[in-house]
Amino acid sequence: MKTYTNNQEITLNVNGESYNVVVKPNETLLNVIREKIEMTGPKPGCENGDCGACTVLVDEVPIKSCMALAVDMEDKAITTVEGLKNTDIQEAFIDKEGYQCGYCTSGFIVKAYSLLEQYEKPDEDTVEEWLSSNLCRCTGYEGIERAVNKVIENR
Amino acid sequence: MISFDFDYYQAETAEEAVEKYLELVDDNKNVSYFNGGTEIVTYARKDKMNFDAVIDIKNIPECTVLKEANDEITIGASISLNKVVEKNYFPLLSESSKVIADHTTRNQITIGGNITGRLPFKEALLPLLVAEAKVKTYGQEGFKTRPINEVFDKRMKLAKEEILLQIIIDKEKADLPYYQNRKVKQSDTDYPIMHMAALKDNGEIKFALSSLCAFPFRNKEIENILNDDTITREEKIDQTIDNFPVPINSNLRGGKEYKEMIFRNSLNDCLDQLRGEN
Repeated sequence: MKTYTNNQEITLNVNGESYNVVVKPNETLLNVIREKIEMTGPKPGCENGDCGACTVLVDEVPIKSCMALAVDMEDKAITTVEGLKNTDIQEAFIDKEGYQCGYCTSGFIVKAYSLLEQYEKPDEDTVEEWLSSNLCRCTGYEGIERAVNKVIENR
Repeated sequence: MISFDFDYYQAETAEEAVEKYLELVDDNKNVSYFNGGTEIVTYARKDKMNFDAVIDIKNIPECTVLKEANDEITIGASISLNKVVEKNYFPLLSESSKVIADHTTRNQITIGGNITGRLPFKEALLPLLVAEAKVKTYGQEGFKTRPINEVFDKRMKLAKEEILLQIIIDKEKADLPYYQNRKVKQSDTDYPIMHMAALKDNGEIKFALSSLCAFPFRNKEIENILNDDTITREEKIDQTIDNFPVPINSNLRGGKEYKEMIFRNSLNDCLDQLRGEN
C-alpha cells in the first residue's frame, strides 16, 4: 500500500517534464504547482471548486486542481496553461479578446482546449455545458465565446 | 491547502483498505475513505471536517468497473459522473447525473461519493432507488450485496469500516420509461430546490425525491397514492405532500410555499408523462 506521511518527495509530471517536489498529504495540486513548481498559470480563485480558475488537465481530463491532492497525482500527466503555448485556442483568445482582467483566462483556455480536443465541431449546447464550469467575474463571456467559435469555424 | 496534517494511504484491494481502516481506528485515529475527494478536500479546507488519515479507494479494482453484461449494469463506486453519463447504460441515471455541479467537477465527483457523502442532495441516488439497484460492499463481515432500498434510509447505512464497491442495476429496469426534473433557483450549477426521478414499471410509477426535504427518499405510501386510479389528480398531489416523511423545508434557495408550488407543478408533469392522465 502506498503511504504518504508528513514531508515526502514525490515526482509530478507537468507539461511533459518531471519535477521532484517535497509535499505533505494536505497540499492541494494547485498549491504545489504554484508554490513548489512555480508555475502560476493555474489561479487560486474560490479554492472551493466553483470558479474553474485553477483548471488543469490530468491524463487529458480537465479537473479543478484546488480539489485534488498533490500526492494523488503521481504517475499522471498534468497539463497547465503553460503547456498550451501557441495552440489555436491561445491564439484565438488573443485575437478575439477573450479576456478582460485575465484572472480566469488560464482556466478557460485549459477547459476550451480540452473541449476542442474531444470534439471536432462541438455544438452550442456542448460548448455551453463545458464552459459553464468556469466563471469570469468581469462577465467577459462574449469574447471567450468568440474565441472558441473562431477555432471551431477554422476547422 | 488544508490547515491540518493527515496521512494518506492508497489501497489496492478492498481487504487492504478495511484492514488499514481497522488498524488506524484501533490506534485511536479518525479515518475517512477517500474517492474523488471533492467533498473531503473542500470541507477539510474550510475546517468543516477533520481526520488523521484518509484511505484512497479509487485503485481498488471493483471500484473501477463500468460494464453492461449478463443483463446487468455494474458501476464501480469510483466511476466519475461524467463517465456514467458518457456510457449512458441507464438513461435516467445519466439525466440525473449530468445536472450535478458542473462539467469539470463531474470529472472528479464519483458516483460512490455522491451517494455516500455528507451533502444531503445525493441526486445520483434517485434513479438507483426507483430502479431497485443493488449495492456491493466490503467490510469486517466480508463482501455483501444488498438492495439499495434496504441500505439507504436518510443516508447510506454502512458500517463504519464498510466500503461501497459497486452499484448493480438490472438492464430491464434501466430501459423503462422515465421522468426526471431538477429545479434550481438561478444557475444550473447550483444545488437544487428539488430533484424528482420516476420510472414506469409494469404500469406503476416508482418515485423518488431529493432536495425538497431534509433528505432524499423513496416512499411506498406515496407510490400507492400515485398509482391509485380511484382518486383525482389534485387528491394525488395533496396526499403525496401529506405523506412526505418530513415536511418541506425552507432555505436560502426557496421558501416552503415556493418549493411546494414547484413540486406540485413537477408532479403534475410527471403524471402527465408517465400515466397519461389529465
